[in-house]
Amino acid sequence: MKLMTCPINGSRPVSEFVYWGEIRPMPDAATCSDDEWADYVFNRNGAPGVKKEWWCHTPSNTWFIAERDTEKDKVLRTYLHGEDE
Amino acid sequence: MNAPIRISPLFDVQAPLGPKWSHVDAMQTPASFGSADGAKLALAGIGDVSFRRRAGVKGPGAAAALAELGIATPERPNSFLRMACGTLVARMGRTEFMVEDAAGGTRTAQMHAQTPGAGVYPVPRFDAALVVTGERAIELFRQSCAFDFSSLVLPEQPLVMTSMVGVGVTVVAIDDPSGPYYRVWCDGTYGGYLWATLVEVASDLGGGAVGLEALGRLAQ
Repeated sequence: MKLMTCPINGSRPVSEFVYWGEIRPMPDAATCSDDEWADYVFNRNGAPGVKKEWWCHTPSNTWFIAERDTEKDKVLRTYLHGEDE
Repeated sequence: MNAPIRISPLFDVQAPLGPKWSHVDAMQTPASFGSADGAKLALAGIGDVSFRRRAGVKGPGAAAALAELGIATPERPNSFLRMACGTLVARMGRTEFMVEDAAGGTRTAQMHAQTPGAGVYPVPRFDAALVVTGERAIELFRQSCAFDFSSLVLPEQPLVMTSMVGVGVTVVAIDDPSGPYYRVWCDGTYGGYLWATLVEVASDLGGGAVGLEALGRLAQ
């Protein structure tokens, strides 16, 4: 069983979590070019590496950030939004 | 006039079993499923206490809003307390609480009547609420859930939010002289499935559905 650590609820089976995608900073729609906006809307970075992702512990609806190595599928650390040092 | 005006989320799965009914807090609730209730209770009993009135509140001002009403709150997230009046107060996260009245309690009515201030967000609760009892309750959880309930330290009054037979549940483990027992809440719309599945597993362990008469004070 794969485990993931929720910052509030602790280590739980990964089946209790949902993945909500990589955190991608949104460009300022008022000032960015059409290409930059289209890139943000339509393109995703599928290259393996360490990425920051949104995850949610569904029984408690706890949203948090996981730093995950998508090449090795290893979660390096998890923390709540705003707690990144 | 004693007509039920609230319907248990478990009514549709309980009615085919033909229990003896009672009305508690204006909800029709099984009083007994038969003479074997007591034996089932000791092994793996599943009771319905959805009739308890409950209310939720969340937000940075939630704890202060409850304090204004004289409702005590647990210090730690994922824990619960029972007030002297019997009211059960569960802390589900840093700023989210669920309050469940004892019999005849009015705490939740006070919460509903309170005008929410800044940073206070009322959360309507329409849960299915179960009681899981018996010496084989841990085995029942092992078959239905990936969380190890035997790891809980009962005097700390722990609260666990996890997934049970695929349903998101909130569980508190209650230390009792007769042995630990558990209160389980889930979204009411999943209640029938959760109840029927747990009753099926409990039946394999020598237990099953039990009514309020057998539950007695465990229904508090």
